[in-house]
Amino acid sequence: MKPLAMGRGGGTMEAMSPPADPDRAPSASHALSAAPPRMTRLSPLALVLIAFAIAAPAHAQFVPSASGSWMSAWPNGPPTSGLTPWVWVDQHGFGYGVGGTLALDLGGPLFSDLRHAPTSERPRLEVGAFGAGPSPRQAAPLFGALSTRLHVASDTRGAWLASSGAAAGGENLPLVGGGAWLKHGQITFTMQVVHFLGRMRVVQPQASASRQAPADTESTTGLVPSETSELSVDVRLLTGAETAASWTLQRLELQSRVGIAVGVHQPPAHWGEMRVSYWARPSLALFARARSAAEVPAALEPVRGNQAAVGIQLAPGRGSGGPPTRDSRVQGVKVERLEPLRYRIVLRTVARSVEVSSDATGWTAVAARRLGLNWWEAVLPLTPGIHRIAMRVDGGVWIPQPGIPTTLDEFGGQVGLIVVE
Amino acid sequence: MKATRSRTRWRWAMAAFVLFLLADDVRAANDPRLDARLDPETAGAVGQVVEKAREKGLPVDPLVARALEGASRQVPGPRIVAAVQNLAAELEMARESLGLGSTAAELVAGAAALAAGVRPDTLARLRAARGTGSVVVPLVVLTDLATRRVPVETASAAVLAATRSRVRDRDLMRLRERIDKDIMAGASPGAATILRTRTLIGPFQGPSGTTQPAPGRTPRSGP
Repeated sequence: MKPLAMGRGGGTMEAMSPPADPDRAPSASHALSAAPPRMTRLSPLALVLIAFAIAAPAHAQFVPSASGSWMSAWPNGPPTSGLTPWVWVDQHGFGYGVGGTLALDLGGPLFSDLRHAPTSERPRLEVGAFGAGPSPRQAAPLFGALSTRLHVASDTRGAWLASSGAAAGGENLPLVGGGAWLKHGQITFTMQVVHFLGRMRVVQPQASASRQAPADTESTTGLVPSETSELSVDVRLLTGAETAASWTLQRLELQSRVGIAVGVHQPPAHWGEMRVSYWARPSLALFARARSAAEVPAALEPVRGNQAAVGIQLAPGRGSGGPPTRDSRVQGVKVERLEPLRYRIVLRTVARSVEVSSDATGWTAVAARRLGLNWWEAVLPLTPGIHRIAMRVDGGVWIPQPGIPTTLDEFGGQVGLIVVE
Repeated sequence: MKATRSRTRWRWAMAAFVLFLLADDVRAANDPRLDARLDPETAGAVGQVVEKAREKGLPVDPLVARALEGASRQVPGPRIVAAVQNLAAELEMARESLGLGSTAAELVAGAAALAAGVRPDTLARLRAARGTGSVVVPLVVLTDLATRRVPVETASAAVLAATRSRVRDRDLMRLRERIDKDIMAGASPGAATILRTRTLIGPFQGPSGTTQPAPGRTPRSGP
């Protein structure tokens, strides 16, 4: 006897060559394939692109960090696919934006030759578009960006390199950057560095025309007093660093970001932001945001100074809103036979407690035993046949073990299936 | 001599009567697990469903387990009874589709597939494709794909095609894992299923007909 439903979570990659099976005979399946060979060769690419274009993303999490910002030219967390429009209102008027990303798994069928990452992590390419702007009544420019991120990610951590061709108020903003994120329980930590490759001249309001220019700017473009009390500022070699944390609890999301930017001829700029979102519906969130920014060039940051805003964010296809069916903290599950009728389930997760429940236990929760740091083990009596099994971490919701087949549990959730021969 | 034979007959008759009473009592008694975990009303209702299933020759352990599962989820009694009734009906339908000689595991797997929206005739086709071999794993894979929002017709066509191509159970499980990973990576469930099945067995275009679940048999997702 051995369990067939073994599986491993955590984004492991496997070779995708078809298994050798000399007994396999082309039979009735051919009746389903009438397309010419050329179509067969092209159809995977077409199918995937069409599928991405029309299918609702399962976990769209593109979150607008601001009303439009050079530090937000690309998402700063795990790679996702999705479309997210949002609107907000603050003391100056309203703003709007829309962001969309498409994440392609380079370890998938289209890019199997490009896999060079460790087996526990997968390279992904994420392309995105992002546009935002304040009310037409405001003077701040529209911001738009096309971005690409090359991402190596597992379920709990990832790192990326990114580039973006952004534009704001007619200025081109070529950006490159990199960052990393780490998920610990319900908290995700992110840090990124963004470098502005271009050079632009921006005009900032000047309270007093007699203000002295900083010494290091005078020799190039400097702060030139204008007739309209505006200063023309040369911005180049600007580098920003930002760290962020987000915490998810049921329908609530709490996010914070702080950052600083330094550049040639540009005084240090800094910003901080707090944001809370409430997902009233699976694809609709109400959010409130408080933001403070200083010395950020207007072309890079349409919202300057302090801002308090409330808004609505949409995320079509974000999920059903039903009970969770996966716990991203659980990274791997393995089913091993100890002896006839006794099996042990080993899983890796960050938790204080892990419980396993199954029809084999009369659906009585069995506490898993900690094997080591983040490793847990539960021993179950499994007779030949099909067994339904579920687990929960830290007393949370019962979910199926990742990596094994699942089915609906008739009570609003899902359970795992283990087949014992 | 005659009196001795009469006494013997009388004793046998009494013993048979006592056995009959005991057997009837055993039949009427609920599974003690039900009595221990459910309120009396729910336990009684579930017990009736279990008893009817037993009379029909259906496996009853899955029914008891489903009731216990509901109790562990702390759902109301009527929902538990309804879930057990649904499972009993699905077990019966699975037996009609898979055949009287099906094992309990096959019936349980078939019932799960039906609950996920798979058509009964798909079960029959899987049985025909596998012959005397077990259809447990194909049904489990099919159920899993349907649960992961692969269109039921696409999932059915993929598993049927793989089964007809004599793909082994272990490779079917591997196919499921790869489709799952593609879906988690953001791929469309249907497209991922078609692509991975094609990788496994060669030419495969997916279902030629509708991609909707069978009429009147939509997958249940709970309240």
